[in-house]
Amino acid sequence: MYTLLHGLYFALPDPLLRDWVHYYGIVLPAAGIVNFMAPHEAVSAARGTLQSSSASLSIVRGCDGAGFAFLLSAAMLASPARLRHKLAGVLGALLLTYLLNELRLVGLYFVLAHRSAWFSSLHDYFLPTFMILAGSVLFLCWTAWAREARGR
Amino acid sequence: MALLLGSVNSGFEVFVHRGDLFRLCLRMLAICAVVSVVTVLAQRELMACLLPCFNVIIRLLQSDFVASPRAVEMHNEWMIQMTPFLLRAVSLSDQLALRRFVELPPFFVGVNHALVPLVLLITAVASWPFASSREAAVRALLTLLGLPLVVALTTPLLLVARVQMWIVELALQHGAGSREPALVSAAIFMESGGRWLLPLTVAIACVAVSKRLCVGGAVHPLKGRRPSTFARPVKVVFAPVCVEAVEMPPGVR
Repeated sequence: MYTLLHGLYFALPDPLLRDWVHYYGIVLPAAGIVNFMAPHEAVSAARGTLQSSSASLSIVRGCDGAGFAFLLSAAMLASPARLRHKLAGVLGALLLTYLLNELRLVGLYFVLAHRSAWFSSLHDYFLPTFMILAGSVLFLCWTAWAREARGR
Repeated sequence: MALLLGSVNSGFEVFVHRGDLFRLCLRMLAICAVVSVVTVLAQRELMACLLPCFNVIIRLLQSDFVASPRAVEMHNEWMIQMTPFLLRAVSLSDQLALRRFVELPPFFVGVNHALVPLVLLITAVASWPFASSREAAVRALLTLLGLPLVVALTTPLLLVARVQMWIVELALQHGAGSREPALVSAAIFMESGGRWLLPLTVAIACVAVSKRLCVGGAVHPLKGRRPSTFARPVKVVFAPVCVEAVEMPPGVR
């Protein structure tokens, strides 16, 4: 299941992903959030990049939380549950992925702009681990919910 | 962690009751925090243990070059540096080739990046409650056995793939067409989520097998504990393609 989702994701052409999915779905909202929180940052969204005078954060294939979403979705789809529970779980997984990823990008932008020494540790180590942990909590909650619903 | 414990679930079914959720989540969070902090503090020592393994695995993965990866500090960050030394000529096109016995530029991977799969594996294995110290010991032993697989398919694979990608790019710059090498495809899969999937898969295998080996044996799984969902005996059935765990009714061993 995971491999299938991964294959489909990598079948998406780069321009489509960068200019549409990443730009409208991720970079533009993230720039909006940063500007709302700190208007003086004057961040602009330029294709796949969050840009300002103090930092430039590129969002490329893989920075969109796809791997995390696929992992969580594959786990739910492969679990023994009713189809509607699986679909609800996948929807929740996508929502959680999107929210966490936007938070991650906004956080990483501020870190890059103001504490760049922390960037690597957060980007490579703490944030991926935290996201997997958050996904695990969602999965556990979903498992309990789906099982109770199945037992009713 | 729990992802796995249900995800590889072409059979391994997890039963989590609402009352146990909070405890399990707290336990996961605490274990993850401790493992993360310890790993960050001991990253240099961990690398000292892992680098010889990386070296062996890199040699097993390919035969074009040798390289002794080492840990270096760059801009207050520990990195794994690998400088490949070509043992044979590598052809870029019909007319062009990299000569043998030349040193390629160094390739780097962050130590933090290399340690994430290990943190996930340890957290996943330790988070799922065990019924007895025997089960814990068996699980720890199985984790040690699974560790080389996680180590092999993450950082060494990435380092080798980076070298191969560099060679492919060089070939393209010289107008030669080039196909994506299999190790590069594998590394892309691992880097885009496979490096999380793999330790979690190994973890569920360790948990399932340790339950299979210990629960139902001489050791009582509920010794001194409130009989929670997790501590109840679990029957693990091995099928050709899946592992299936079925909760047994209370009292059945």
